[in-house]
Amino acid sequence: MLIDEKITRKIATLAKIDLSEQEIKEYTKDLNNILKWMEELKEVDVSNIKPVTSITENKLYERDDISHAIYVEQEKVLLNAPDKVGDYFTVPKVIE
Amino acid sequence: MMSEYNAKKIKSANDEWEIIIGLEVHAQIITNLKLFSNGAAEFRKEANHKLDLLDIGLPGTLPVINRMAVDQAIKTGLALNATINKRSIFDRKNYFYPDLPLGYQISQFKDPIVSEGFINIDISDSKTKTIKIERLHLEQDAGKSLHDQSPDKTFIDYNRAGVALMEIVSYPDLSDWEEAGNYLTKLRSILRFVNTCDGNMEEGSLRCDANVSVRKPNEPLGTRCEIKNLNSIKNLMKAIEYEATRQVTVLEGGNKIIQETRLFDTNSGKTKTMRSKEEAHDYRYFPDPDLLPLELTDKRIEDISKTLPELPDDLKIRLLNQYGLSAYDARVISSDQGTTEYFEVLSNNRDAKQAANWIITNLFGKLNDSGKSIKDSPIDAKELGKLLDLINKQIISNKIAKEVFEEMFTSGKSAATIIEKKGLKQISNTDEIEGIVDKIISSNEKQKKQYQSGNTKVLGWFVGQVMKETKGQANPSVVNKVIIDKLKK
Amino acid sequence: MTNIMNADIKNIIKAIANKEYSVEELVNDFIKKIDKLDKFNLVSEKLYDEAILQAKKADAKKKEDRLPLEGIPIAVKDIFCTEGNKTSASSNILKNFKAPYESTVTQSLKNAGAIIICKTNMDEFAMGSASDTCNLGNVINPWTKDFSKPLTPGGSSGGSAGIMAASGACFSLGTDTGGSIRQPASFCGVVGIKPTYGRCSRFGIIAFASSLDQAGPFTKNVEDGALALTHMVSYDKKDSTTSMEKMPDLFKNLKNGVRGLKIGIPKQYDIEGIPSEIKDLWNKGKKILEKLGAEIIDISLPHTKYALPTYYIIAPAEASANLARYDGVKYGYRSKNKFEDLNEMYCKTRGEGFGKEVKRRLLIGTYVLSSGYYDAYYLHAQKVRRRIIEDFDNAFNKIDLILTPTAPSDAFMIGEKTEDPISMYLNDIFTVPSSLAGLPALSLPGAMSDNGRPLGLQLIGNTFCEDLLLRGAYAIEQEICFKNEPPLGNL
Repeated sequence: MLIDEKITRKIATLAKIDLSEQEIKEYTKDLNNILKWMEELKEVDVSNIKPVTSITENKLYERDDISHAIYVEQEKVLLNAPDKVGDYFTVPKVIE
Repeated sequence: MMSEYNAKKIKSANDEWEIIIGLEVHAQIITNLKLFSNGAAEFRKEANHKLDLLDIGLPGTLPVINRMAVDQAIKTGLALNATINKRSIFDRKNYFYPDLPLGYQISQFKDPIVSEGFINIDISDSKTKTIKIERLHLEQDAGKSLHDQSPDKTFIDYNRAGVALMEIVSYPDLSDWEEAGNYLTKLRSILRFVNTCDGNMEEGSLRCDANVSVRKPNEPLGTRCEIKNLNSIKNLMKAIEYEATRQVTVLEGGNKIIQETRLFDTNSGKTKTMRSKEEAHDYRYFPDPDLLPLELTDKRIEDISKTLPELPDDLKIRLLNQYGLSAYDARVISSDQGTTEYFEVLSNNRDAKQAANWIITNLFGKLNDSGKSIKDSPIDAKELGKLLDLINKQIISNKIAKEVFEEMFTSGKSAATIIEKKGLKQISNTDEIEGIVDKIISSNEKQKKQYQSGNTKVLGWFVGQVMKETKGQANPSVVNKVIIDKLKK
Repeated sequence: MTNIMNADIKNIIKAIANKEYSVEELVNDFIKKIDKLDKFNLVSEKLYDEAILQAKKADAKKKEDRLPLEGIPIAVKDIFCTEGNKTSASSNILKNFKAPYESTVTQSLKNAGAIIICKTNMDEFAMGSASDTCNLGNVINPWTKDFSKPLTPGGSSGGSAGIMAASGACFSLGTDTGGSIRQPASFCGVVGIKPTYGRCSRFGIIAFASSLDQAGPFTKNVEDGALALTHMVSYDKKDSTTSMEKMPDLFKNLKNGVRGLKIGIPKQYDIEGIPSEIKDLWNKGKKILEKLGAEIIDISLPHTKYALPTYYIIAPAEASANLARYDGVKYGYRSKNKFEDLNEMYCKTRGEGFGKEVKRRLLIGTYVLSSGYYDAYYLHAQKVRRRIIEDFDNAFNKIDLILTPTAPSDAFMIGEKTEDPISMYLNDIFTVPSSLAGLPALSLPGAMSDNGRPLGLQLIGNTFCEDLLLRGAYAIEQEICFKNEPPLGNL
């Protein structure tokens, strides 16, 4: 077993996904199978190989810092907000 | 003269503890637009205004880097004597927080744009200490969460989300809170000189976290705590002093320091544990596949280096050599470009030491009291220069000059106007003074005799009488000379 | 023209220009057709009103104002943001989300005169190979004969592939991350093209895996594909990964044949267990090319077998960050159940909003990036990816194109592989390696399986060589003459 239910729970917490007990069981099984399948990658000799960071060979385009930018129309900013008050998006109160 | 410099240590009954401090500074970069979007970078009152699609993390939106922000980071790196890396990579730092619209912050982790620099801080009038800088990297600022607007909701404003930041990380080279304060002051001054950050800590465009640990001399490094929320240099210093003392108390009580993040409470002056997070952070950094590596050419770096202004260290040396200022005066004048410009105008064809002295003692005092910067000073350097000229030509005394200065500061009127209107011109006319002295001597035979029998102290009394008579406008050296001449007769 | 909907795009354009047909008539014909296809669940949203409005405008235009794709009705995968329309990537977490802006690709097509007639269903966030993870239900392949045993159209762009199979649009848009255009094209008997990574802007396309996602068209034939692709690609300053490399003229040499071209046949694609009918098709492809004067060269791509596990580390890792923005704060679904605090809001919103496969991949992606596992999984995979790229680089030193099958099977029954994620992932075995290398590739229909379902051939080109890719495909297409139609009866 590469991972157990405890690890699945930990990952789910990191990914902020609520899982039922049933789902924890299933995903633990799935993830184990998938990770086992990935084990074969260890056969590949990657000594002195640089990891890929991007597959295009472009030069990164850099935008001008112009002040007359076109902003999103105001009514569109909060158009899809699940919960809002005035111009603000809102979430349940966070206690620091 | 200053005594040999020693960093402050925490002393207890039996031991002396060293403090080890490293600072992480977040500086908002001066740009019009955000680091990766066309959202406005400026501060604005209306929430969620002038945003770009990326600022609210809409699906399908992509980051595009702002050239100005890159140039500013290069410029700052050069000013910090650092290496500009010709290839740097943007990473995603993953965590959930409502003011982080994408669920990750675009930052630089393994390959920052700038690494290995240093700045010198003055630890005494004659000594500087080099503080090494580990890195400077570009990253996005977060939005703002407002917790006090409603009893059950936190309000989210993305105006600040994505604004370009430089995170400047020092090595743990700082040995006490004064050095830390010095370092931050110097860093801020450099940022302002190169105009890459306005350095305003109250408004949050410059923010600082401190990593603090203590150890006994020659022992391995202790466990460190990170203090957040330090919004002024004063608070930074207070927080470090408190935190170091706290750590010593904990260790001497036989307990261990827990590595944690602490908040500085400005009211109590204490640091306290941040409400414990439900899980340890695991930021899962990886290169942002929406961006390519940032490649810089030698020419670009060279071109930017040509735009660098004279920096505080070079300026200080020039002030010492060219003007013969004291180390202290040179340091204070060179800490700010506005002050330097003011000084150079004021000292033009005048006594530089006098000019520096007037700026540091008189002008700074008034500016501080009125909360103004030297650039907004009601008395400009030319006007103050005219006042100094009046002193130097002995038209007014130093004492009167201070009165006139006060009036100039409040009314904005010129020195000449004030002197004219109030009749404050110094009396240097010997005839006039002789008349007054004659009158005083003749009506004070007793004191005259005392002087003539060898009690020279009484001379001061005569001078005082003359000054009283002339409402302080008589030239003191002329008065002195006339009295002595008359009394000898 | 009686069956205009089956005509080549260039002939449709001609018919409109000659006023044999009005755009409005054309659009209405397609609307009728699409309505008849409801049972296949290909469409997420019908945009008829807007389409008719656009058609009327097109008809009112003067001849000289006509745009190159004037009035051409297209279907768009629901992963492209189209302004003012619902755009959900077939996910409940974006249910009812209205895109406030337009993707670059759809904008380019609109600018060329195309009319979006509907948006199509897909696997949720493009994660799947059977279009069976869609929030609006399974998508069904129009080649299905027996509705009690519905076939998958493949995935993730199943709706767009299916609608082309049923002639419900002049062309349709898909996205391909590990095979999401090519595999459904193979299953549905249409042409599907994935251009070089960086050719089409990803701006406005809901991201799955940023270093792999590419848009591309589904068409009835290669020539239509060349036309559609020509109007989709652009260097876009809004997407830092788009290429400045100029797109070659796709028509210039399209019909020049393959004489003298070197075609690589990678031995590693001859895997155990693939049906003989697929090997037969592959051989047929080789023979055709040989007959047309191409040189067939056996090549080796030694790291092929590592491509799938590499892909299933990299794609989920990128997805785990790309999908972090769906948190119920700015837009989209927020849990309707009770939550005590912010953390519960996040967890419930994402637990309820994402489907089973998406959650599975988010968990994998989070795991392979997490502290202690990053080097062993993610970093290692990016190094293996370099090996895979090197394999292709070496091969393309000697050859012009690579010929392989598109998928290891024909369209399977919906539900057949859902229980075992790995068997589902194996669908992409032939398409994933070229995706990891960012190469252009396409699938074109080659034959019918013994079960009477289409089978596709895949051609892979070198970076930025879409012209050669389409030229090879056109030559094969002319020889194969795939004329089979799905059994739609009198639809």
